Amino acid sequence: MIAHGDGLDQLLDLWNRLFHHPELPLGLAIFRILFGLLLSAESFGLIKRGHELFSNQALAPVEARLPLRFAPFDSQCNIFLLFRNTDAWIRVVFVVHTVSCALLTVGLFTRVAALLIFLNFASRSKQNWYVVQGGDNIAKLMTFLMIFSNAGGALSLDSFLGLRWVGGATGESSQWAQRLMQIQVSIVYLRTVMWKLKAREWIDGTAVFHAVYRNPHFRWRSLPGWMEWGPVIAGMTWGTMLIETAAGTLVWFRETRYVTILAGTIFHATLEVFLKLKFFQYLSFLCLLLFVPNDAWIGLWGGVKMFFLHFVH
Amino acid sequence: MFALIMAASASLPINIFIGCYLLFALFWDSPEINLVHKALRSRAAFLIRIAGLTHSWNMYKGPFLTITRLETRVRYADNTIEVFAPPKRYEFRRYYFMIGVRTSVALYNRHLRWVQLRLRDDPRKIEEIQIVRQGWKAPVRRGGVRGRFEVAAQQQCREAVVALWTRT
Repeated sequence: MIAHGDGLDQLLDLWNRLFHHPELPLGLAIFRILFGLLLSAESFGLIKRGHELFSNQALAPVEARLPLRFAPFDSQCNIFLLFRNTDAWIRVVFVVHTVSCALLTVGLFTRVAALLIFLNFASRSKQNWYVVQGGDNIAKLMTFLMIFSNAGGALSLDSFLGLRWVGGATGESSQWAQRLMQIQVSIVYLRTVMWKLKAREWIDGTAVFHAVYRNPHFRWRSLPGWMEWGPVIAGMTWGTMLIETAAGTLVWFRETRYVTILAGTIFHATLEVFLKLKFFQYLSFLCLLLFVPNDAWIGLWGGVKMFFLHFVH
Repeated sequence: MFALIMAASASLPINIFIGCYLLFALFWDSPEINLVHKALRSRAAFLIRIAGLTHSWNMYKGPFLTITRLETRVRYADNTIEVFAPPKRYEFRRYYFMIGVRTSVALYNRHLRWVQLRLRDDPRKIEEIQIVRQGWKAPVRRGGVRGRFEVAAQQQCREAVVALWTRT
């Protein structure tokens, strides 16, 4: 029989091991670099065209958005509304955003950069909900957690210059923010499955056909013959839910982690081929890399070095 | 035990933050209504909205059984009618799909103004701009000996003009 004290001990121990086990911020730093590069690429185009989406002459400015009951963003404070969200101001906002993304990539003033990027994504969803997609939500939550993380603690200018306050701890320390980011990624996948289970088409195995056939990007092309075959579609439909469940659960265990990441990568690549969601797919793949442990990255680096040394000699 | 509690209390603010975030991440977008979800939505919603942390994952639920989209038709002085397409670069943000599934007249009127602004450099004289809401339905039947999907060749389209500008 376990005493109450033992149970509490175990619980605290589990909590501490999960959130406060000292680790190097290497994996998080690699994620930060790739994440920063992706966001930089996305934000570059928005410097020129962002006003078409978010200015006072854009598709859905505040006055058009307010009557909608289900748009949950009734709070109006956002950075686009400063200076009356003119085209020029929107351009300034996206220039600052692009610079922040670049700073995040190189790891200079990392936490400040993460805060500015978060403010931009939070403002986008308030300003024009109609052009926000799932990838924006993920980027928003990841940058929010990155503000508190040690993402600038390795492979960064912050660590090179010794700017701990803005970059985070460089040595082994609690990586609780990274753990929250991983948990958030898992929750996204599992939530997705829970939402899908509410739709009949996902249960009866026909959802993928509807999704692909009726997708606005794919609608006018004819589907390959094998995609009209019921068992294939059912396999793809249930396979989708299986992979999403695995990405939210099995990715936590060492034994199944890499297989799950590989399956997740193939899954997102397939979605990209059929649904063309672009930013979201790339971001989802990057988020799976958050689960790769430090020793795997170190091992990979050793392997790459060995390969090049062998090649040179 | 004591050491563990001391260690935990040393990082108490962080642990409280972690706990709060976990509750938020788990229950903000919960498909089921439960007590935590209700409390979060009623008591913390204001703070979460101000912070811009609101989100939803139900967009992955799908699939849409009817395609609803907008089409913008521009009629010029020589009576030619052209379909205005939004910039290709925003295709993945689904401009016409996202607002197509809404039914707000204010939104459609705003969209009409948006189109007018995009067309202001068009050298031709515009007589009329129509925003048309289309609902495409292609009956799909699953079955047959080999379990193939059968899609009706004739797609059913219902459309209605939801916003209109004419030169008067």
